[in-house]
Formats: sequence, C-alpha cells, structure tokens
Amino acid sequence: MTDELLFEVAPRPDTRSVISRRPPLRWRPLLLLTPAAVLVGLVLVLPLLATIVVSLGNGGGHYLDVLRDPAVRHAFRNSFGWLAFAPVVCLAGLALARLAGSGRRSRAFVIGVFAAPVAVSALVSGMAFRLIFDPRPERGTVNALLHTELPFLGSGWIWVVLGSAFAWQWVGLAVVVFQAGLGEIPRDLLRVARAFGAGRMRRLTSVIVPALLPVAALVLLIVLVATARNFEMVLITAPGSIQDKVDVVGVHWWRSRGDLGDGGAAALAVLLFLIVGAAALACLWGLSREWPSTPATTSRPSPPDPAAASARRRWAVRLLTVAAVVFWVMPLLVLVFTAVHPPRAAALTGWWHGDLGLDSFREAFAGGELTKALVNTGVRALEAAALLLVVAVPAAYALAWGGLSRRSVRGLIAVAAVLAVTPPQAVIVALGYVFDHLRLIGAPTSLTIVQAALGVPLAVLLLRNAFALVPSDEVRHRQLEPEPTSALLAVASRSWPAVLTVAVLEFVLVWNDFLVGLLLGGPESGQITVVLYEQSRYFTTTSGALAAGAVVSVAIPLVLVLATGKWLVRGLTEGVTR
Amino acid sequence: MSTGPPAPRPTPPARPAGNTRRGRNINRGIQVSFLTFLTAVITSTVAEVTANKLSSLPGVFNRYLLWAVAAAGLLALVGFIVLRWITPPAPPEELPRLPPTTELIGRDELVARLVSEVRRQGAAIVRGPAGIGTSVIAINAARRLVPEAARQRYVDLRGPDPDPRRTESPRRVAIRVLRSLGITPGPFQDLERAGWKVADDLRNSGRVLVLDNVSALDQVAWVLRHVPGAYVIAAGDIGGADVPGGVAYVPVGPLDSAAGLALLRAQGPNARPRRRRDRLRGWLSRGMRPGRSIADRVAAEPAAAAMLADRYLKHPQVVIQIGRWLAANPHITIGMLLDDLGKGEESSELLVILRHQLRGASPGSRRLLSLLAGAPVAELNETAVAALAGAPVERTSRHLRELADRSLVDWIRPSRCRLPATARQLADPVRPSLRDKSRVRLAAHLAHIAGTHAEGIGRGSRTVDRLDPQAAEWFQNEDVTLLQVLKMSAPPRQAGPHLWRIADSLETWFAREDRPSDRHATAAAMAEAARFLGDASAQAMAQLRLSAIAAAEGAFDAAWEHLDHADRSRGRSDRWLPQYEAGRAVWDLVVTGDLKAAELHLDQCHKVRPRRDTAGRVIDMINLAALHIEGRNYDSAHDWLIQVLDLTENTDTGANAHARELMGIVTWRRGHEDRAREEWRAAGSRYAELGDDEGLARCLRHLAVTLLGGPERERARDMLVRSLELRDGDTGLGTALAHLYLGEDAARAGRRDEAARHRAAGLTALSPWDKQPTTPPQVSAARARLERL
Repeated sequence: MTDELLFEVAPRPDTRSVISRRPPLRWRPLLLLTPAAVLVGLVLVLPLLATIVVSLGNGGGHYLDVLRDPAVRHAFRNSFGWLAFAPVVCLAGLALARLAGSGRRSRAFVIGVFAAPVAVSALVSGMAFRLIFDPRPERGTVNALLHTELPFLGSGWIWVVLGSAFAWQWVGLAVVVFQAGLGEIPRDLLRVARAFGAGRMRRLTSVIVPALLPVAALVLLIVLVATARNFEMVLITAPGSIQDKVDVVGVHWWRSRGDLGDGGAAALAVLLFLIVGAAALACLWGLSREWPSTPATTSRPSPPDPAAASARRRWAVRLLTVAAVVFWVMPLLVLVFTAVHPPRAAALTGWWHGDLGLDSFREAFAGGELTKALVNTGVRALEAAALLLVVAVPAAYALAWGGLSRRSVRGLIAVAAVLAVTPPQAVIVALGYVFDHLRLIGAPTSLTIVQAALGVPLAVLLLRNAFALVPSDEVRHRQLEPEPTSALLAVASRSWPAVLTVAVLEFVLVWNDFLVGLLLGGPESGQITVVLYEQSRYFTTTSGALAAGAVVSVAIPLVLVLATGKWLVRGLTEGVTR
Repeated sequence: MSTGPPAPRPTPPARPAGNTRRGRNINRGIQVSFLTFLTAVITSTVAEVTANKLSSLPGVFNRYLLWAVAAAGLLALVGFIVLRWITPPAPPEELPRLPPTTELIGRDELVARLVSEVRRQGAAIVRGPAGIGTSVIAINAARRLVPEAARQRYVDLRGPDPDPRRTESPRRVAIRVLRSLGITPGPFQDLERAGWKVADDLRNSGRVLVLDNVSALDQVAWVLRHVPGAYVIAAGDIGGADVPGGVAYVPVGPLDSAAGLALLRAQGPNARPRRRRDRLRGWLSRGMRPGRSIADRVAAEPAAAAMLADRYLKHPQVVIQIGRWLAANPHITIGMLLDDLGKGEESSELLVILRHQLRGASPGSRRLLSLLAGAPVAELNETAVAALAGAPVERTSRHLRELADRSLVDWIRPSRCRLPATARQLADPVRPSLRDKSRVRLAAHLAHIAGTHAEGIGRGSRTVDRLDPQAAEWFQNEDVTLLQVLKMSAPPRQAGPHLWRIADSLETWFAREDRPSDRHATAAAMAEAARFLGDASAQAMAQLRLSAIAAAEGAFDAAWEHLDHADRSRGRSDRWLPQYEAGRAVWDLVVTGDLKAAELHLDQCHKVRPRRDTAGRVIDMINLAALHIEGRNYDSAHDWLIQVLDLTENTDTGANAHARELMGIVTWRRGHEDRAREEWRAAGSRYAELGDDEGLARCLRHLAVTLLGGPERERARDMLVRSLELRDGDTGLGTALAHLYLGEDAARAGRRDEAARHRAAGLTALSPWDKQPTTPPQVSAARARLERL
C-alpha cells in the first residue's frame, strides 16, 4: 500500500494593524471640497431644492396640471424627439471618426475642421443655418443649389434645419472623442480575436464595443445634455410663426411660465431636470465600465486595413471626406460672406453675389453696444474660468487623492454628474428671486459666480478622472512633504491638459451662454449672445450686421479652441479612454 | 606634523524640490494667490450686494478695484507656477560614498603606512580614542587606494540611540553594510553568511569599504577578512578582543606640539565672526592692533602658545574647536584662552570650548539643542527635527546650520544631522511637559510618513503589492530610527497612537524583508510601550504578533504564552478581537489540530470582523478553506477559494498566491494533477514576485512531492533541497516533509546513511510538537513515516 502524499496546509495569520469599525473623519479633503460645495450648494442645490418644494405645492397638483396641458405634452414630445436624436449624432460621429482614421495628420485635420463648431454658440449656429436654409432661392444656399423653393423655415422642413444645425455643432465633438477612443482599442486583442477566427461582427461586439463603451458614454452624456438644454437654437432658427410647433420643454417653460404660474413652471423645470438626470446617470454607468489600458498601443501605428486598400473604397472615403468638410465649413463661410456684404445687399441677396464691403461690420459696431458686450463677456468668461479652477481643482484632488472612502467618492461623483446636467431652468427662478431681491440683476460678479458654479460639477468630474491617473507613488511622496499643498500642485501640474481643457471649456461656455445671461443678467450685463439675440428680432433686414456681429463673437472662442485643440482632446478623454 | 579634522563635515546638501526654501516659497506663493483670488471674489460679491442695496458705494470700488486685486492674485499664481517649473529636480540618491574631508595637513606617514598595510593584507583596523582622527586617516587612505568615487563605500556605524554606550549590534551593522553595497539583506541566520555575501560582492570589484566609528570589534569581525581585489578598513575607538589574524593594525596616537599648533594656525583665515557685535569688536580691535588672525596671535604670544600646545592641543578635534572659536572671537588672545581652559572645572577641554561656542548661540538654537538632547534618537533628518521643534522647516534649518557652525551638531549624511554626546551634556534643561510635547510631535511626524510609505510596500492587506522603491528606500534608511522611537523610555500618553502606527508600519516592512528578529524587536517594543501607557488594545496586538513570530519559529510554548497574554490584556476595547480569533484559529490548525475549535474561532472571527475590513475577510476565507482541506471537505474549500481568487485578482497578490496554493492542494486531492501543478506554479511565481520565501518554499515542495515518483525525480529532489534553503529555521512541518520525501527517495535508492540523516533532521523539525497533547493529522502521519524510514 502506498502512503498518501502529505502537503503542508498553511493557514494565514493576521498580524495587521487593528481596523476600526468606522473610518476616521478626514478633515483635509473636506476642507478642499468646501469652496466647491459652498458655491454649488448656494447656486445649484438650494435653488433646485426650492424649485422642487414650489413644484410640490398644491399636493403635487402642479405636475398633473402641467402634464394635462396639451402644449406641454407637445413640448415634451419634441424634447423626447431631441433626446432620441442624440444617439444618432453619436453614431454619425463614430462613423466619421472611423472614416478619418487615427493618424497624427488626420487628428489635426479632425480637430481643425470638426471640433470648430464646439466653439460656436447655439445662437450663432442657428443663425447660420437659418441663412443657409432661407426659403427664398436668391438668399437661401440650399434652395439656390437645388433650384427649388422648399419652405425650409415652415412646419415640417424646420426639423431638417434644426437637426442639421444641432448635428453640425455636436457631431464634431463626437468625432474627436471617438477618434481618441478608437486609438486606444487594444490592437493585440483585435489581432488575437482575428487569429481565433472571429468575424467582423464578433470582433465588433466582443472587443470594439466594450472598449468604446466609456467613450461612447461620455459623448452621449454631453450630447444628451445639449439636447435637453436646447434653447436658443430653437429660439433663433424657427421664425416666430412656427415656434409653437417646434417648442421644447426649455423654450416652453420660458415662454409660458407666466401662464403656468410659479408652481406649474417649477413642476415643468423639475420634470426637465429628472429627464436629464436619468440620462446622465445611465451614461455614468457606462463611464464606470472598466477596460484594460493599453498605453503602448497608442504610439504604435495601426496596421493597414486590407479592405481600405481597394481603390473604389478609397475614392468613396475621399468623396465622403470632401462632403463632410464642405458641410462643416459651409456655415461659417456663409456667416463670413454675409458679413462682408453691405447690410442692404445681405438683406436682399445671397452671400455668393458681388457687392462686397465692410458696412455690415460698421453697422454692427455702431453705438458701441457690441464692443461693450465683447469686453464684458470676455472679462466675465476669464473671471469665471479662473474662479472655476480655484474651486474645482482642490475639490477634484480631494475626490481623487483625499483618502475618502470609495463609497463616499462614488456618491459624490453621482451627485456631481446629476448636478452637471442640471438645466438652468430648474434653478433660475429661485436664483432670479434672490437676484431680484438683492437688486443684483445685471451685477457682474454675481453673474460670473452663477456661470462658474454651473460649470463646477462637470469640471470636477473631468479633473478627477485626470487626477486619478497620476501614479500613486508620486502623490504619496508629495503628500509627505512639509508643504501641505505640494501634492495638490504636483497633481494639477501633471494633469495640465485637463486643467487647460476645463479652463477653455468654461471660457467658451460662459462666452456662448445665453439663458443665464438673458434671465439673470438682463440687457445691462452686456452678454454678447443676448445682444445678438436682441438684434435678431428683425432677422432678414438686419442679417448683414447680425452676421458681422456673429463672426466677431465666434472669432475669439474659435481661435482659442483651435489653438488648444490638441490638448483639449487629451484633457477631455483622459481618464475615460484609459 | 599636523592633521586634518577628525570627522567629516559635509555641508547641508540639496533636498527634494518641495523641501527646499525655494520650493516652499513657491507653494506659499500659490496659496497666497489662491486666497487672494477667493477673497477678492467674496469681497466683490459682498460689495456688489451692498452697493446695490445702499446705492451709495462708488462703482469703481464695486468693480475695478476688487478685480484688480483678483488679477494680481492670478498674476502671482502664474508667476509662481512658472517659477515652480524652472525649479531644478532633486538629485538622485546614490549608494553611500566616502564623505568629503578638509585638507589633510599631516598624518602622512600614518596614511602611507595604512595604505601599504591594506594593500598587503586586504583589511585593516585603524584604532584610536574618539576625536584623535581615525576617520580622516581611514578616508584618506581609502581615497589613495581607490581614487574612483564610484568604487568607494562608506558606512557610519554610529547608531540612533542617544546613549553612546548602547552601540549598534553586529547583526544591525551587517544589515547596514549589506545595504551600503546594494544587497538586500533578507533573512540570514548568522553573521558568517552575511560576511560571505559581502565577500562575494566585493571580490575582484576593485572597491574599498570603509567602516567608520566602529566601537567594538565584534561589530565588524565578520567582515574583516582578506577579499581578493577589494579592501576593507575599519576605523574608530575599537574596544573588545584582540585584532584577528590576517588583519593589519594601525594605532593612532595624539598629535605632537608642533602639529597641534600647525593645525590650530590652519583654522583661522576663513572664519568670520557670526554676531554683528563680534564682527564690530574684531573690526575695532584690528583698527587698534592690526593682524588678529590665529597665526598672528600665536606669533604674538609664543610662550603661551607653546604651553597651550603642550597641555591641550593633542586631539585634532579639540584643536579644531579651539581654532574655530578663536577665529570667531578675534578679541581673545592665546593667554586669555589659556586662563579660561585652566580655570574650568570640566574634565574635558572640548567641553569648555563648546560651552564657549554655545554662549554665542541664538535662543532658538539653544532651545533646539535642548529638544534634540531630549529626543529619543541621536540622528534625525531636517524635517523630523522641525517636527520635534514644532517650528517651520526653514527656521529649523537656520538653527541647525547655526549649531553645526558651532560644532554642536554634526551633518552626517545629506539632510541628516546628529547630536554629539559632548553637545548633549551642554544642552539647557527643558521642562518635562515641553520635552513630552516635542516627543509626541516627532512620533506623529514619523508615524505619518511611515504609515504612508507602508502603503507602498505592503504585502497584501489593503494596498497594492508592487514595491514602491522610494518607500522601500525610506524604510531602509529610517527603520532603525523608527525602532528607536518606538523604544523611547517613558513615552508620553499622547504619543501612543503614533507609536502604534509606527509599529504597524515596521511590522509591514520587516515582514516584507523577512526579518523575524526585527519583527520580534518591534512587537516587543510595542508591548513594552503599551504596558507603560496602559493601552490594552495595543498590548494585545503586540502579544499576538509576538505569538505569530514565535509559532513560526517553532517556539510553541512562547507562542501560547503570548496568545494567553493577549487574551488577558482584554480591556474595554475589543478592536483587536478579529486578529485574536484568527490567531487562535491558526494555533488550532497548526499546533493542536483541533478542527472543531478552529471552526469556532473562525466563526467568532467572522462575527467580530468589521465590514470594511475586506483584507481581513479574505484572510478568514483562506483560513476556512485550510480548515475544510484538513477536514477533507474539498467542495467547501473550493468554494471559499474561488471567492478569494475573485476578490484578490488585481488587488492582493499575497492572498491570491495563498489561495492558488491551497487550490492546488484541493485540485490534487480531486484528482486533477496537471491543474494542481499549474496552480502551484502560478502561486510560486506570485510569491517570488513578492519576495515571500516561505510561500515559495511551500509551492516548490508541493510540486516536488508530486513529481518524485515520475521521470522528473532529479528535478524534484533539487526543488526539495531548494525549499529547505529558502526556509528560515530547522523546525516546522514544511521542513519535516522535505526531509521525509528526500529520505524516502534516498531509501528507495539504497542510500541508507542519507536516509538516516533526513530521518533525524525530519524528526528534529517536528520536535516542537513533542510536548503537545494533540497534533494535527499531517504532523502525526509525517512523524510515523519518518520513524519508519
């Protein structure tokens, strides 16, 4: 009989330090979170709570009243239509990103062409598309090209115009982010899948889609928020006669809040907030999906796709690229060419006719209102960006490296995500009451603080993702230095693309802001978009000066975005693609 | 003949960017900018509200003035960020090289003799009383032997204990010497093995190793040997036995009068009085009587100078102190000095001079000296000294520099200083409450750094397993200091939590380094401090650690005693209860084999374990799996192990390796032989990655046991032998099993003598269980088979 083999079955002793039942309270991260919490609490959370309280008056009857209102239901239908349009925009972005490839030259091209509309306000974008789709063939580019007289600004066709304007503005961002995401797909895994005989579909479902999920969630989050907050584009593109047809919840709230009463308007705003918040949380779930990082693959040139080698396909790609470039460049060209026509010529003829001159610019700047608005908006955008950094960087550091429990961090991130997408309509009434009471309507600092506070949650989310990527050893060693802020500054300087991105995005958002400027700033705030909107009341007759003003207003953010585009992409996708 | 200074005095070196004065200024600048901007925004808002409410404040105040403040803050921020970017990076740390010394004025003959002796014999001892200049002779000889800086190694053997009578133990010296050569000490049983490691590393390397400030011969006897192609020099006031054979001996005597005077004259020219008052007095006296350098004063009073040299200028260290003091006090004549030295009641003339030096020191420096004298360690770095003083690093640096200029503090390494024993005697007494507060601050500072770095070297538990090299380097430099702080006599009550954190960090570090004796010293020091402070929880935790260390060494009686002590330490707090229950379960599994009792303790452990202690829950699951394997309930064991593998895949390599190892046993028992080997290979590579020799030895043994009957018999034998080499002690079930299988293999091959040797060694390995009333089935089975051999 053979003896059984004997093994030493070693147990595991536990000589670690004692673990307390409750984690110790950490004051330092709380201190770092305080400025952001105070700002967001005062500007977003308290007004939101006030709106909710007002909406719940009458035993919840306001909600019933609002939902029974056919005009509101119509606005909701339109808003849901816009939400459904968001994935289409994302898919278009993905397709174009795939088409563009991920080489260095194509990246620069994509940033230069597709990302430009991000810098353009929705108001200007709506303005450009209204010019392009003008129903008269002597003015409207599309009708002139097609030799038709389609009523683009009438009921039905207006959706094409609105959809095109929205797609023009947001597909570019999707292309840029997806391109970064495609560059991060693990090539080794794809090769292995191909070697194991996985077909194109299988590779797509098992490797590409899971890898792109976090990026897709980020894009979808941004676009969904944009659709839900859609306001000024509808306002300026659709002529007054058909505005009730294209009404969305945000616009309806603005136009009918007097009729709806305080409770009804609050209920409508809360419903809008709930829709956007739910969408944001769903996207956040996608963002939290993990995917193995493969930084080495990013620098490796991707192997040539055999299918792309065929000449026919190459031609198709070139044609599509040219069409895409024309589509993306056209609106800005139309604005510029309209602006270089004298006001009378711009009002009567299309941008392609002769008779050029700078009279429209002269008219736009006459009276000095536009100059004052440019200076005011610029100063405010700079101040808001600086304030945002001062508040958001410490908060993001506290979330990434403050030593808070995982559960607390997750909770705070979820709160930040929901607050990041809060529509201004949900807080503006309560804020307006305070502003009115303190006679602050149009006061520059207060307006800046509100605009900065609206950007804080998104900034904290983006910065936290980037800060979390800094190697832990480095942070730990810095945390041990005698100067307590040393680690914070080291982390922030290592993640400078993200810091720059947040600053530039805030500048652009404040520059292009319309709703907050309109409702809290009033005419005396000198917000550039509000000034342009005031001038657009007589759209056709003032289109020359309007285009001139739009061109000037677009120039600064456009230059800023194009100059920093390379780092913006990095800053935006850091922590998401890796 | 004259000589240079006896001890190297490097100037305070460059520190990491964040620790520099410039770095601190940059950080402060950014904080100021931040606060300026925030204040401007808040003030602006308040002003806006007030202005709109009162309609009286001028608009310019409302807007432009405050935004100008904000803009200034922003501008400052940008400026400081730019400044920060251009701050040079900290220099990289290197292995210890020979420290710089001042010019060697004399002792040429001694140095030449030492060089020739070392060339002839390979190793030498330079012996002389403290301050006589042995260090400078050894260092200069080493430079002449090996001019290349990269091949010079220097180890200062002075320990962290403020009491100079308590010197570094030979074992600790061995660790420091090994580290200075870039060798990881690892677990070594005896100094002989460490000596061979050093010899292997030095052989034909063309390097010179200087061991300075040796106080006893047994500290260095293990390393003093002829190594071909390398040199070893030990220097200091070396007491103890006779010089070993084959080692050169160079005694260093006092200076003669002429050399003493020459050395004194050489101190003068560069010194500048520190205080304005002294500088003014020197200027006035020069105005009246030109030429007040030391050389001039010696020349002016030749008789007094000759008397001074005859009586006092024998030791270079004394000569240098006298010279510095004279240089800083140009109004003092040689005659006046002679009177001063003659009047004093002090036994040491050095003390007289130092007292003079201290008289001119600023109050801040004097206070710092007093706090340093009351510190539990003799050596500290600048930030730790700042923590001790409760003052900003910058101010502390200034005071340290002042004390160093007056020879009251030695800079022994970059950014590290040491208080000499003589200076300690001069310190003003401090109130006990102040001294206690400074000790608490020091303990808190070190505990914070140690705790943070422990996260970078933790094996398993709550942290990642990858070894953070910077954290490891910090522990290499500071573990002795931490242990010394933990051992402080009469610790203040407020220091308790910090001391426990230090003990926890040291436990993590020494466990990672496989240094059971240091783990024991740490736990013993923690137990002593906890006893003094009456902290039952810490006392119990220390006893549990002592128990685990004793059990691993096969000292079951001691292990049980400590476990029992832990149980008796039960106080109001039961936070350590999970660890205690886990310890009892391990005891029952390893020592008594009482599976029912083990199950009860594990169940209790599960109940009292805090929910957030994930790593603790993983340990419980592994122990449950071990329990079920012993009880032959393989399905349950498999389920627990699957959970552990799932939880630890990317977080806790140590626990993951352990689970894989046990999974190997489970799969083997279920008949999946290849899968079992795969698991052991995977576990072995993880253990190797972590440097866990004990775990690696177990995996090698499991694999070898299964391969012995097959074609890979030779390989299996090699693996068993290797597993024995990896284990620390001669006792334990693992050692016994290795001997059992090697013995059975030898018996099968007809090598009866070898089998008998393994039988004896195996039974010795099981001897700790001899006194136990019950033993685990594996132990009984192994013993029965060994006896059958």
